[in-house]
Amino acid sequence: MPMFSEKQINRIAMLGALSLFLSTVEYLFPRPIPFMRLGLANIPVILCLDLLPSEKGRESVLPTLAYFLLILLKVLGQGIINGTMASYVFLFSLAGSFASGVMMYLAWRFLKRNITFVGISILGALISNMAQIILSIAFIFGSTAWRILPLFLGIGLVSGCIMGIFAQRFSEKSLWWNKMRDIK
Amino acid sequence: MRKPDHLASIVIDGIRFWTGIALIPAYLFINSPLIKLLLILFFALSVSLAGKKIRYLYFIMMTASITFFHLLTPNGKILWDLGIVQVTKGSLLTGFTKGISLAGLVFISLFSVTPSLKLPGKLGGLLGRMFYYFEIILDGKKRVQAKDFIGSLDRILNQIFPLHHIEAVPEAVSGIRVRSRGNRAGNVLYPLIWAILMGGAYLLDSL
Repeated sequence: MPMFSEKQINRIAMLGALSLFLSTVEYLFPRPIPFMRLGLANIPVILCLDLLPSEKGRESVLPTLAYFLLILLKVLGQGIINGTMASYVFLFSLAGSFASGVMMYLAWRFLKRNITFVGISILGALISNMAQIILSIAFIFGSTAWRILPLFLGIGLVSGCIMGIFAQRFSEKSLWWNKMRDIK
Repeated sequence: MRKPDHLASIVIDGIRFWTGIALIPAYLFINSPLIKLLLILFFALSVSLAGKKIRYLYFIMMTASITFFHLLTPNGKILWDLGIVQVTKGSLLTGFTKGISLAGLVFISLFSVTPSLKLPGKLGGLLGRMFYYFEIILDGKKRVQAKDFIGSLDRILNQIFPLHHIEAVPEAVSGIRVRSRGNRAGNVLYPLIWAILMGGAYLLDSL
């Protein structure tokens, strides 16, 4: 029996495409700090949580595995489009995306009634930055790079908050998204 | 306007990708920073032939910051004493070599990975479908407004992927992205040239 139906595969591919698209329109927004990235590509990943099964008996749009497949598609797609798939950038992106993905999923699964997309997004951004800093300390900068941790976590806090607000507003206002969510 | 990918007319995506993958360990095993810098020049030339841009400032900043963080842990002979930090030979060399190694890896990736690269298996098929949708959605890029980001994005998505399309399976998933054809001689010569170049670099490195 196939793991996903054609409808589900289509939805995952669409969300992945939206993620790639958002990463290309990121330049429309001013960057307060040169190295700061907003992480617009993460919005579909955050939104996807709302399509997963959460309560017993509630019919879901996508199975849980689809969420992690979407993260993999996002990272692979960005690696191919940007040409970084055969470099350390890809590994950093993979580690950051999956670490944050797992934590966001767990938070959504167990705290759903007490957490919004803003909280989820901030958590994801902090975990992603944390994972990437740990990797960069281990493989690139050395132990002295702990000094940049507060700066990167601060950046993660701000970008995560902005992305969370975007995701929250998009899920409330977008007609397209509401159709996607409602049609099983 | 996007620059043409000259490598695409010489070599097919798959050979280009796997040659790049083979170059990674070969490049990392070279110790001399000077030879690594020389190879980076070849990599940069290849990136340019691939029609991609290199953000040189980004790589200079990256190498400088990696070197700086290594200088904070003194190692070896003191070259200069700048008060706050002592510039030591060992730290300087380690940091700089690591910086250019990482820059070189990104360069290899830039000329080896193409948007039309097709990965095998079910995951490759899913990626193909995602890129198919991406090509469609990219047409709406100009209509995205920063001021009304959510509204404009919603209008584009509704227009491009209306409700019935969400359920439809795309008919022509493959064939949207033009795959490079390469040529027979290029497909043989491309990995061969890199093998000769890396062999030469090894010889120089071992002298």
